[in-house]
Amino acid sequence: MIRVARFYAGWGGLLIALVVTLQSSYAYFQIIHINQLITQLNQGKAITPALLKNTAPELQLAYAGYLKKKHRYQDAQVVLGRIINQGSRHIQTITRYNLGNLYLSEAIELAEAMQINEAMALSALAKQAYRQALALDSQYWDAKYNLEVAMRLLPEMDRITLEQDEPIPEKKTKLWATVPGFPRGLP
Amino acid sequence: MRYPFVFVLIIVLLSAAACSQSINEPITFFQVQTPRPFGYVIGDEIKQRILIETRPGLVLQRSSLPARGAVNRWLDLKRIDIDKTTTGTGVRYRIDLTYQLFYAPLEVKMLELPSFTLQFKQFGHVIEKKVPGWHFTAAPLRELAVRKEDGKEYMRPDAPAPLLDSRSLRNRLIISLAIVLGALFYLAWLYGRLRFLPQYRVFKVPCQQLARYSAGDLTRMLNIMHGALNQLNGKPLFQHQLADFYQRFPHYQSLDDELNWFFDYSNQHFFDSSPKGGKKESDKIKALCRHCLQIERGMR
Repeated sequence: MIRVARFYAGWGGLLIALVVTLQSSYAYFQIIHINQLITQLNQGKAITPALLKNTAPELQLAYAGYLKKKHRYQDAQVVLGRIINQGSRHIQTITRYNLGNLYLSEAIELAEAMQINEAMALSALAKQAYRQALALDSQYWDAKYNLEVAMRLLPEMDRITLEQDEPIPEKKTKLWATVPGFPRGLP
Repeated sequence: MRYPFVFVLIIVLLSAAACSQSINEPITFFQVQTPRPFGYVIGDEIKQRILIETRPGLVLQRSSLPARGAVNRWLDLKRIDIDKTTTGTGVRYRIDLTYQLFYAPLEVKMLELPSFTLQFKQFGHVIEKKVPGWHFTAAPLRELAVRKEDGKEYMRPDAPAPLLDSRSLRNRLIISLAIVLGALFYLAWLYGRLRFLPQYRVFKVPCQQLARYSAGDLTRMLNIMHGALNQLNGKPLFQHQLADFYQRFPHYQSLDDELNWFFDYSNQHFFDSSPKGGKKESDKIKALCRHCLQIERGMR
């Protein structure tokens, strides 16, 4: 009786382990495949669009980077907007940083073409994206640096002047920080 | 007898004095702990810790703390953690505020965490305690006049998309493969296919030893064969236990006749008054050992 039970246990264990092995090897090789695609896209190589159906945010992020390299800013924005709240905290930080870079690159190009108003709007969006990235990871040095770039492009309007002992206008500034956009009535 | 009474009286008076002091002072301890006041850059977090001890019953009004979110254009209050512990003398509050700085100064600039007033309530009375502002300096990250034309880095590049983490899956794969191998091994053992295990290497040495003996050493030969059978069985094997032995080692059932003869002959040899035996018996013992060896090697 015990001997029969041993045989059943042996075969049962073998079957279960085989199923788990097959399932995890399938998933593992799928991940390897996606990682290959991500590497290709990071290197700026095109991949067949059918392979982009996978919704892994890492892959979509790589695709957005590829689109940006090809100067397809609008398409890249759409892709990043789709995955903005997906994935781990790290991925969300990178998504926001890359989105900020996208806006900032556009803003710089527009500023060089002297389209100041559009440039200001885009740099405000870039600042917002960088701030969100930094809120998720305050040690993200690239985001800090580029936020400063964006701020220099569009300087903050109310420079605080502590030397003159001016109280910080709390009510007004609270409104400012939450409403995106750029100030009216200024050059 | 009188001294303990005086001692108790002094203790009571002292504790009454301590109590009256804590009743007079609603806030017995107040401290603001701040980190270094310099070297901050855009995006940095600044942690402020406020330690307060109050008399019992004083309740902190959470609405008097600054609200989470934007304090002003360049400062966010990211987190508020309040830890309240009741001690013997009152209530101890530990308020941790985490600010995040979003100011891009053109040069090193003095900034200030704004002051605010904490409110405590007891029996409808409001007691206030002001947390003073805190000054610190922030510095820029880049030179004022970096231009694209200089060939210098104007903005930091995109972050490449990270690869998917395959470690946990790989570990699962390795573990499940190990279990598959283990199960296969176990089944092979159950089906008696593991010839290299010690229990399958019992008869090799005895057969070599037996080959060296002739008909005159029957006692030694019987001892060797008994020893081998005992080793296989794990304990001394007697004739009446053969059925049980076959259940555990079914392959040896085919040698039933030979084994029975062996035990009969052994009994006869050891316990008869005049044992007899010759070449025929010694050959039969050698043959039995050979057959056992063949069975343990899976050749029979």
